Amino acid sequence: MTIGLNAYLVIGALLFSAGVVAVLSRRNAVAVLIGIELMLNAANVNLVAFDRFVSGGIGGQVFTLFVLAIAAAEAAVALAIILNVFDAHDRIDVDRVNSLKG
Amino acid sequence: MLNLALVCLFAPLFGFVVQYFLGKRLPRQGDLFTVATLGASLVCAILLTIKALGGETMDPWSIEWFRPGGEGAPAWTLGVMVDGLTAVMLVVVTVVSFLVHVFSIGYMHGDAKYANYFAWLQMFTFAMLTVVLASDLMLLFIGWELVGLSSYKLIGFWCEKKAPANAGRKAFITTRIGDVGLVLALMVIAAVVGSFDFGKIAAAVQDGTFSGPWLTIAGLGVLAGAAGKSAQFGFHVWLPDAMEGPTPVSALIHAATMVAAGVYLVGRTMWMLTPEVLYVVAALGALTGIMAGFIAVAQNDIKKVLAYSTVSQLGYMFLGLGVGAWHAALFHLATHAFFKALMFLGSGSVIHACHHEQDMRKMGGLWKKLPVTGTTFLAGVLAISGLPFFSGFYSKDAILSGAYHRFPFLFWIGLAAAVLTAFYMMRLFVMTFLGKPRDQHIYDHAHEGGFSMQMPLVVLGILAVIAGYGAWHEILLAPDTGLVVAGHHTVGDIHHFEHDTATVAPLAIAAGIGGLVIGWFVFSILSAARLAALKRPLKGLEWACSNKFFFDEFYREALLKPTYAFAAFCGWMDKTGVDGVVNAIGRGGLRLAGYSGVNDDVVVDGAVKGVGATALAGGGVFSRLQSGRVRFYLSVSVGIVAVILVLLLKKSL
Repeated sequence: MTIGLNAYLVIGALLFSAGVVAVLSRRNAVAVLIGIELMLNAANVNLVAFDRFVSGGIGGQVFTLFVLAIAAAEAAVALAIILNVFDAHDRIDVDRVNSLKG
Repeated sequence: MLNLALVCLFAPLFGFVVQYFLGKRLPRQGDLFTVATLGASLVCAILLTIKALGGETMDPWSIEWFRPGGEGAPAWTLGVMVDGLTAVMLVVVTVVSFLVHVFSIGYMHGDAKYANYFAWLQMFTFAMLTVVLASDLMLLFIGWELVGLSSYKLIGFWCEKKAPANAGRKAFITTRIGDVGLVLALMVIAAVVGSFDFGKIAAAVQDGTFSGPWLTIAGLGVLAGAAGKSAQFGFHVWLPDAMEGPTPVSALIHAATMVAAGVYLVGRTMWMLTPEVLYVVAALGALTGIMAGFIAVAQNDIKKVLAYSTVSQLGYMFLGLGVGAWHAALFHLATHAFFKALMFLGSGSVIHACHHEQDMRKMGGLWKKLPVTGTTFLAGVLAISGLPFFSGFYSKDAILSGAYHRFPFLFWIGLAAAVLTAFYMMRLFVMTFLGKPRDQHIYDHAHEGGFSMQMPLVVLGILAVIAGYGAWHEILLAPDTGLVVAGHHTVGDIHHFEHDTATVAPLAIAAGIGGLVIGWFVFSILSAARLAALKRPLKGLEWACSNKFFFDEFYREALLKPTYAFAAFCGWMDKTGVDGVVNAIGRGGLRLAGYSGVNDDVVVDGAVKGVGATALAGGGVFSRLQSGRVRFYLSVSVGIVAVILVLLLKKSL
């Protein structure tokens, strides 16, 4: 059996679903961040796969690099926020950060 | 001459303004100041008279007031003029006013409104001089009303008491009724002649443009005004009541000057009066003379006797004017002013001595206590009774001879009035000065007033004796301005009367002496019991006289009560009719406002509040969604994305 585009897409979908479940189910902010990273990487897998099997060229790989850079920046910002939340609340439970509710 | 006239006129006005505003702060509350301003006026008046007597004439001087008809129409002017008549009146007014000022210093001493009193005396003098100096009817009318105003203020001077306040009102309103006639005459003259200048009116009368019924109506209007001011029959009710004022005021206003203003007005406009009007004047005068004479006999208040005597003498003057004895009437005006002012000031002296007791029944024997007052008063009594060689004789005699030649019937009435005059004057004199004191307490405390009260009495006493010798006829006619006798009488007419006094004089003398003797006999010689017996058959007459022939009662029933009833009816109409409509409209408005309010509360506010409430409710629902739980938000968004994805996939499949 040849490994084709569908296999990659299935892997991407599984990764994305795992990320979504992590984001929705975990209360720990760091875990949520990890979930988000999973979803981003699922997108990366899809991009590389489409690049390899459909369009041909390096556009998808370039996009992937951008995504990685942005993910790194996002992680830096997110960790900074989390650190501040910890300072304020002594824990990093996202359900506790609700002072902006209406 | 003009400057003199203007100084004479405006000195008292200046005095009034200064005295009214600063009087209390002047030394001696300004009494000497007002005497001084009036002295200036008096000097000017005398100088003017001397010049007039010397034949000097003054052209009427006037300023244009306004042109009621616009540009080109005849102007209404205000001006002054001096002729013989004016000169005589000037002297009378200023002399009497001056002496009354001096007398008042003593009489009003210590009064709370001392300064104010002198201010109004000044105002009155100014007003009277305006009347006298005016060369046109409009200015005369202005002065005329000012006279009425100051008279009102002075009668009601003690206005904190009820009687003087009412008397002031009565005088003002009664004379105002007469003034309606005068205003009517002014309107007729304005419409027919277009100018109020005496010269222009006289010219219009002479060339016939102003004649017929209109002239008669204007004449009657003038007469009505004059009768009101001069308290002629029908209008006379205000004068006795005016005695509530201070006695010097009575002397000045209600004996010498203001009441003579009516006589002056008729004398001034004599050329305007048609024979019919003159007949009315004469009849009115004779009726007034005899009626007031009867009432005076039955009065016990010393001032009331003098008041009715004044009414009676004014009637005499009207009689004189009516029969065409123009100069005699005005001559009598002058002499009467002196001797009546004298008697009023004398009565003031008596009242002052008796601690403001005015009832003659409580006096008697005062001659010994008040020699100066008594002597001068006697001069006044003899003068008014028309005893030869006293001033009243000459003037009265002239009037009676005029009446004798024109209306013999009125002559006999006048003669009867002369007897009555002497009679009640003697009664007054006997009751006050002769006999035994009736009230020992009053008698014991009686004393002569100070110099300021004696000096005017003496001066007026002398004038009452000698005023008849003056060259009055010459002065009155002196510079013939053509105004005096332009109409229906000529200078010849007037002199005609003068030469006929010989027939009338004995009768007049007999009347005067007869009245005095009867009076003296009845009130001094007869015992009280005999007097009562004598009175018995005359009971009805006495009853009518002492009640003043029921004029006041008649007016109350015939005029005042209907007026009050009508006023009450008008009030009722106002309250029920007019107010009813107004209130109904108000109530309607109120109801409408109620509906509008409900509409506002329910509909408009409902809409506004409804919007608010809806927004609030919506906000409540949606605010529940903003739970603050991040995972909830994410779950929702993922769910929605999933749904969209499913839908997209379904479509593409």
